[in-house]
Amino acid sequence: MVEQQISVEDSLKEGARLVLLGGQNAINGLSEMVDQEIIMKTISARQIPVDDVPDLFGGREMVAVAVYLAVTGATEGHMFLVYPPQTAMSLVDLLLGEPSGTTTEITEMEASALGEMGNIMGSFYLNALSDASGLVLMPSPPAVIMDMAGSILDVALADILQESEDALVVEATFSTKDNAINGNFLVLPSPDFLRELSNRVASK
Amino acid sequence: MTVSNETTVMVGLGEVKVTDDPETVLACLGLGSCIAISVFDPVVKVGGMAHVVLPKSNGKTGDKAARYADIAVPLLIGQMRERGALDVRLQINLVGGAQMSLAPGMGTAFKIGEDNIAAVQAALKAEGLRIKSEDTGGNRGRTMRLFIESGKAMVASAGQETKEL
Repeated sequence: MVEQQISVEDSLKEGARLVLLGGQNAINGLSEMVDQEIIMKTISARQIPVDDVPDLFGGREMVAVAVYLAVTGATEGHMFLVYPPQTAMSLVDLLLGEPSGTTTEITEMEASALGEMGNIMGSFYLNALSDASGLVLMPSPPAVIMDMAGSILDVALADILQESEDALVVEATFSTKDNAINGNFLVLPSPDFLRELSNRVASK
Repeated sequence: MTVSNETTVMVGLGEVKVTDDPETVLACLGLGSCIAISVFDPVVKVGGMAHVVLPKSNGKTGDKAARYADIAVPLLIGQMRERGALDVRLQINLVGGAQMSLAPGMGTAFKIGEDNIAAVQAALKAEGLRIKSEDTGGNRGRTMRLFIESGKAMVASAGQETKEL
């Protein structure tokens, strides 16, 4: 049984339910891509102060590998897959069908594999939202960055701060069946976007 | 070997902090498009730091307004002057304003780094102040620390050696 948590203001609840479906679908996408069962352990939608978002990754200065996709179309938003470098390398092994421990650095080839994973998960996430709401939503090409978590998130956080003190964090944690890899999928939808989703669902 | 009693004080998004406590180290961690402005007066030994997130306040006010360059700079400099710092002695350093290589060709949000640099430079100029040194732009994350005891401003990046500005 997947632990599910929604902790957002009432006006955003319907939209939050929808993004959780999207998160579930993103995990399904990963499962299809690597052709093995990926278990979703928890999924949550929460409102937290913008300044606290980097703490989800061990703090602003912690080095992380991130796959970033911008959302365009009916709205704008940000999607991140953020991992400690060790987890990112394990994921590359999974993606390339190599034995665990094969990948020891992130070069262009590994980044490309991680980008493709972001692409699949992002597309599955957005497709679920588009199907449910009728909104046209498209992912940008993926960018893969290894740097301090705060620096990776800055632009998205600055963007969110222009309209809200809180960030909406949709987070799904997953693992492979043998528990070799634990990862998460994080989306930062704007409050306006969630409100729009909520309205769409309500009027259907 | 001397025992260090240093206390690191984090300067979070949109915060301005000024202190004369010699054991304090002011720090902005993991700066991407954000900018850390450090100021130090070596005579009265007062130092300050601001963590700028966005360039222009466009009329916004309140206690969160210091996240904008045009509010943060006068606020920081004003607090330095209140503690006895003199403009001519101020050592001002800038760090950050990177253009993180997220998604090439994407919307205006991705110019925030450049816009922040320009806005901070303009706000300092408006106060009649000069920048001593800066490590800005590019596409890497940075951490800035200001040691109040020595006035040293240091910048660090992932996988690179820490250097003095």
